[in-house]
Amino acid sequence: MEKYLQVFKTKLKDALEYRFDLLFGAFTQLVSLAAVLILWTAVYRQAPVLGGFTYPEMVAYFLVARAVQGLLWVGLPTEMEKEIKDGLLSRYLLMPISYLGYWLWGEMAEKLVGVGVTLLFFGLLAFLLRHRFAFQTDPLLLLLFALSVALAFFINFFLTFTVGLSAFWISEIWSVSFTKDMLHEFLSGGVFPLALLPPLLAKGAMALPFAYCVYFPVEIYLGRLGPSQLLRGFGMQVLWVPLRACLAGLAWRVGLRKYEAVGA
Amino acid sequence: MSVIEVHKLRKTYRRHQKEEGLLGSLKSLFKRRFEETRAVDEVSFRLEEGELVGFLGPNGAGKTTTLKMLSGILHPSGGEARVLGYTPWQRANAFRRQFALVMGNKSQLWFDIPAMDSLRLNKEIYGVSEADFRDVVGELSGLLNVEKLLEVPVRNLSLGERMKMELMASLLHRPRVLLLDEPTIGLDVVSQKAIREFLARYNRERRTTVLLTSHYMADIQALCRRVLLINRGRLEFDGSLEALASRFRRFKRVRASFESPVPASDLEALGRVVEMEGNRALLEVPESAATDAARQLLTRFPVSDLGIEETPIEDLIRDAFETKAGPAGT
Repeated sequence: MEKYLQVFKTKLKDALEYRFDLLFGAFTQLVSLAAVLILWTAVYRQAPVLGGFTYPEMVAYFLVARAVQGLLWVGLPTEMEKEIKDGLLSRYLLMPISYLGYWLWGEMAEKLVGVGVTLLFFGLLAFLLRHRFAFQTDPLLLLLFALSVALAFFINFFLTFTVGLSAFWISEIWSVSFTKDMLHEFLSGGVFPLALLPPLLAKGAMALPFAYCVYFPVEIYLGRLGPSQLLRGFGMQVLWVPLRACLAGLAWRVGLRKYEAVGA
Repeated sequence: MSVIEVHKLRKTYRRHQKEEGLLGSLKSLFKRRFEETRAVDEVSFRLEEGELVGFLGPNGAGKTTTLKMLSGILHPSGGEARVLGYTPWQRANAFRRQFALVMGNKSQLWFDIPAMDSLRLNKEIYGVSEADFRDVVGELSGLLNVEKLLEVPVRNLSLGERMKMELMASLLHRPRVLLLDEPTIGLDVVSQKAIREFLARYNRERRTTVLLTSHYMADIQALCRRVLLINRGRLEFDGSLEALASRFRRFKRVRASFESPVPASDLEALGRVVEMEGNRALLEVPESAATDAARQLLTRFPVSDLGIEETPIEDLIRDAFETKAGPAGT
């Protein structure tokens, strides 16, 4: 346990070393968010309510969705690919530590920095847009929102880790990684609220784990969910965390056998 | 019980053979041809507690593959190995806490943070107590003369400094077995010497069992009384360094630059011409005749620059094996 705590602390330092990255990331966020908001502002000139979202709710949707996406995003496949292909993975095999545990704690540390930065950045944006932003003040909903984001982090982490492990079999994993990112972005409601999809598609999307990564938390934030929907959503999250963890564990065992056979 | 016991250890790699051209690529999508190479072929040896043994052989002879199997990152295709009584590739935590592998061309440290943080991380991973940690870091940083560098981000360290940190990180948990793969590769002479002296002293004082590969004969000469020689996956020699040296003729290399072109044929009287490029030549002469050859070069030719070098162990061994064994078919 202590060893993973130390990974956590070390990675925390690592994350703080890259302040410039944070700044740059914030700038790109700003540009693309501006584009989205301009588009939706234009759309709302045509109708006051879309898919059950008022204009302030839609603004809040995108801001909060972006914040959540940022918190979920883990950049490990590229690093894992490098480690697996260059044989750096070996150093973890030499040490009495688990590779998954190492990454999980490391990413969690980075996200801890991430939470602070995200709150600051999006808080400021929300304040600037305060006349067109739907604030949520119910502490219970905010708490549930935080919980759902935490669960979403794990759902997404294990899948991303599995994508990284595909480097055991594929020499260029960016295509896998890219496909996963695209699917995730769209099916999680990152591009637009899933409620805007045709009913059948929306239903299909809600059966997949992606929807519980961004869409579900943001819906909680907006207070659009009743008790039964909340229960169902958390149920899905609690179901998908171990499922994806098992998938990652399986990929690790099978992939490692290959790695041990060839070495690197 | 020996610390390291290797019995008929074998590693066969399967390599995917691809035919040339687009058609070949398409064909290989459906039907793959594999070629088998024996990287390690029935190698057996034992190391006793406290021994420091050199592992020699040309590139691709199977040294690194053997070390990888002994450290458990690679599964063998056959045979057995026991390190400290454990089968390495089962990777028991109890085993991993007692040994270390250092690879000269692969870093275990985190690039962006100071070495001290990597050491702290290793401390926790290996469950080293705070008191032991202070002890080891104090002792090793003194021995390696790196006290002032512990707080510098690793990426800002020189190659030699980095290797010292690498050694510290690997020795933090006081491993009983230390496997070293080219620990001095790419280092300048001063750093090489420092690492070498450190290893000799560490092995002497701690009785750590060390198996080391190196391209530099100087490393081997300074450190190892016993050497293992491996070629094309087979163990060809296991014995003292003196016995090995006498088995191969020793040569030195004389490198000379001339003010004007000199025909290669004129130089052949002095020794074997290994390279001839414009006004520069590289001669190979028996060790005993090296000084004499240099003297003759200086007096008989318009020499502008001259140096005597040791024949790299690599070349020495390869030459020896090429003349002796010829191409071994597998």
